[in-house]
Amino acid sequence: MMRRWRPVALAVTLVMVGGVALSGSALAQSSGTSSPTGNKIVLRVGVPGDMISPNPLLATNGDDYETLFNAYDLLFNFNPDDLSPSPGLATACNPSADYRTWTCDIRSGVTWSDGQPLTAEDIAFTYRFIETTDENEVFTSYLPYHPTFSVPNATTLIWKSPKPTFAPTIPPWIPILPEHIWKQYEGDGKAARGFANVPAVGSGPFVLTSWDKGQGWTMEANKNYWGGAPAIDEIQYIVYDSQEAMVQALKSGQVDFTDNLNPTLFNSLVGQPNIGTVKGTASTFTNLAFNFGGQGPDATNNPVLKDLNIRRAIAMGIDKQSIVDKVWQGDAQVGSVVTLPSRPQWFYTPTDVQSQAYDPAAANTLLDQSGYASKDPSGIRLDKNGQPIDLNIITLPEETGSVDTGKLIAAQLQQIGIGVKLQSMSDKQIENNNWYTGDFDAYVWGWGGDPDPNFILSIFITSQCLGWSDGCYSNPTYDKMFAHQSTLLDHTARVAYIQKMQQFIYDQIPEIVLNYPNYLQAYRSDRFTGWKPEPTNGGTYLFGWGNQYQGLQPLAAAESGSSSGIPTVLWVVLGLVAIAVIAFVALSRRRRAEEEA
Amino acid sequence: MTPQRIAQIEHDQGLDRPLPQQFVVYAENTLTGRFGISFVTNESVTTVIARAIWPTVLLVGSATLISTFFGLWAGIKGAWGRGSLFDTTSLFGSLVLYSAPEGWLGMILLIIFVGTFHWFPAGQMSSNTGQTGIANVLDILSHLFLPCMTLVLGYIGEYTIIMRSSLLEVMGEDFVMTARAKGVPDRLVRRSHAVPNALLPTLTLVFYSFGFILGGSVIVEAVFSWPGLGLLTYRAIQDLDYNVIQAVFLLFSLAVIAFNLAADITYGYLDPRVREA
Repeated sequence: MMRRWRPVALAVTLVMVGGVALSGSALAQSSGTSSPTGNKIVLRVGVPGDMISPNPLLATNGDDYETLFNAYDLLFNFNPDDLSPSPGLATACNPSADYRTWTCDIRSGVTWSDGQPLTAEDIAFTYRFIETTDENEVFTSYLPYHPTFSVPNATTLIWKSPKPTFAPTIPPWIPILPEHIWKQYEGDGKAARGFANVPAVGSGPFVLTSWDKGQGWTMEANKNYWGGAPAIDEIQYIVYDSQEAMVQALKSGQVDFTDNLNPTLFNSLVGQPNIGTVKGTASTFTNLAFNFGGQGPDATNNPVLKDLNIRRAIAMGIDKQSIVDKVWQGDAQVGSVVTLPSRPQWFYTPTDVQSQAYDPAAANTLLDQSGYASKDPSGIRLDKNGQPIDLNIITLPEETGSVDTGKLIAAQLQQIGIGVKLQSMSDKQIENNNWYTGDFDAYVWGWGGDPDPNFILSIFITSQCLGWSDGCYSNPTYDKMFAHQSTLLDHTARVAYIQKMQQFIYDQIPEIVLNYPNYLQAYRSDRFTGWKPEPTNGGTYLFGWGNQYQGLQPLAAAESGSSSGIPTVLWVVLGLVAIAVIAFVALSRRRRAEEEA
Repeated sequence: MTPQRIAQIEHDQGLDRPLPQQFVVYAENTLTGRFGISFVTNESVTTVIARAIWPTVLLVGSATLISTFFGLWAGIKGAWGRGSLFDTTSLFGSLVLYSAPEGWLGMILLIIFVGTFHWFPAGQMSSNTGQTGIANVLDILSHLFLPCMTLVLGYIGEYTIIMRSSLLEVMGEDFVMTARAKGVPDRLVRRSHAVPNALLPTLTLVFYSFGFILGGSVIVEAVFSWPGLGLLTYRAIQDLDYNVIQAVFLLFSLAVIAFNLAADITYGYLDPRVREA
């Protein structure tokens, strides 16, 4: 009877062998042009998630942006010290007296990674391409007032705006694309978004050569980069769905760098041999963003949130320090305004920060005095129509800290008689459904933002409802202020006015900035040297705002390409075990044959 | 995003049609193998699934084979020497492993074999260093070791326990006593009389496991970033990539049904009572 198993076992074994072979060939195909490591100097970066797309029109997450940063140039780069604009493809852009015409000097002698020359024509093409083809409006806000572009010669770009503007110096975060590759998609957004862009032709310090979806992607050094050839030959980004696995890979030397760790794992790495840790202070803020309605007839926002006293009471009812301590284990700063403490030239401390300090007693008094003194039997305050004030707050499981923050806020608001119903969903679900229809009262999410505050301040203007706005906040006074700041061509005057705007938002509370979480990274200190935070004060070592790979120099371990792995002894032991099993099976079969005979 | 763009997306996805019509279109597309486009990667769902099938077959298939072999062996040895040191130890070990969550087992193996000894890769299926031939196969095997070991540890307890209890039941049957009374050597009684009869319930379990091969082990594949169907499912659920989710669940259901059918057919070959009934 056992013999009948043999064909089955044989078939299954064949399937297994086929599995190894096919998986191997599939991997070989998908890994594209990569070649044996040899003596290549390879930097291996562990990331907790894959790219969404290296196509600039689809780029969404930090990994996409890091890849684009490496693969393409911008008009201006960011000064590594303070993230102010510094020469990129343009060495300078000078305005006319009325700030409507900007003349930019474009670097000469720059080539694309396929050898074609890069000229001002490519830059003009890229900006026109964004105007005509970026239907999802990823980059259009960098080109205000629909400017026109002309190219009198290969090294001059003329930017003409119908209104005075300083947009070229913000600077526009738009990767400059090669016209000879992208021209065919101009005006056809669908076809342009369908372009895989791997391998990518770019002009940045690294070239995207392959992307093994779900597993990682590889960038090779652009030895002809105008800023000098990078010392490392290749960057491999390796995706780990489990942060625990990523940390173990760092400990065993399988990766040289790990990005975006959670506080618990980060703390487990502090003080480990050959491992350095980086605590980037605040490249994002987390917020409790209120919904003011305006999305359409299906919006379910609670109208009490339009009462500033309710919003102020909620702000006073939330203990931001407890969120820092419990959710972030201390790895965050208490939040206040929508600019970031890591950008000191824009960051602003509100004059009346005490007015929103945690004080449940004062919050209760304010609510009592504002006409919300009556409560239902469960202690929830009633609004002016006699309905209990129950807020539907959305949290996002994939956003570090969001769910736990929501739970703390729910418990704290209970103390001031405001009920909270928490609902957890993915960002894609919110965007496609609840945010779009306005089916929520508030959510716990966050923002990053450019070095210049223009973008983050734009999300509060009325016209951004169903654009970048969180909850369709609308205030005509603020709209005027925003329009005014974009006309302030004098930097000092603009800084002062932007502080005024930040104070306005702080006082009007369209959202509560809860905290500025630290960005946690770790690296092997025995493999590369030359790590540099950007910005210098409180920046991260990679995934910052510039070409942070350029300064990396290999140490002996990285040059030799040595890495941990299965010791020969273990291979021998595994081989012996396999032989022992085969021998056992063979012997028992022979014995059975003898017994049956 | 402009209202026109939103309307265009709704039109592309067919969401502007009445629900019954959407259902008919879905049924037609499913029957003709068109599962749509993945929202995340913009590739056809069929391509995404085809890429993930073989890694899962390799991982879960090899884990099932290894755990079946060792699980049956331990179950038979334990039952035949009931109460022996081997039996009590293997029963205890099996219960512990059977109850342990696979994700947790994976973490423990990671901490020991990656974090401490630095022997095996922490994830992925290949080092992406462009190796070919034997070097590539060894590279895949070294990546396979930990996720496979995790699944083996997760499965083996179940096989041991089922095989042991089923053999114990058979050992009390009259035909076993008859065989012994005839003077058949103990080992032959076990191999030719007891084990084949006790194998039937275990066989169900083995086929049941093979049915889940395509489903892979979502947790283990996620812990080790193994690029199979389990990881695909895990990510698709996180990203609400509905087209992929629909297709993989359909595939999992088909696999379970197909292997259950295969189990029923094989039963007939193995057990004359079933064949004649």
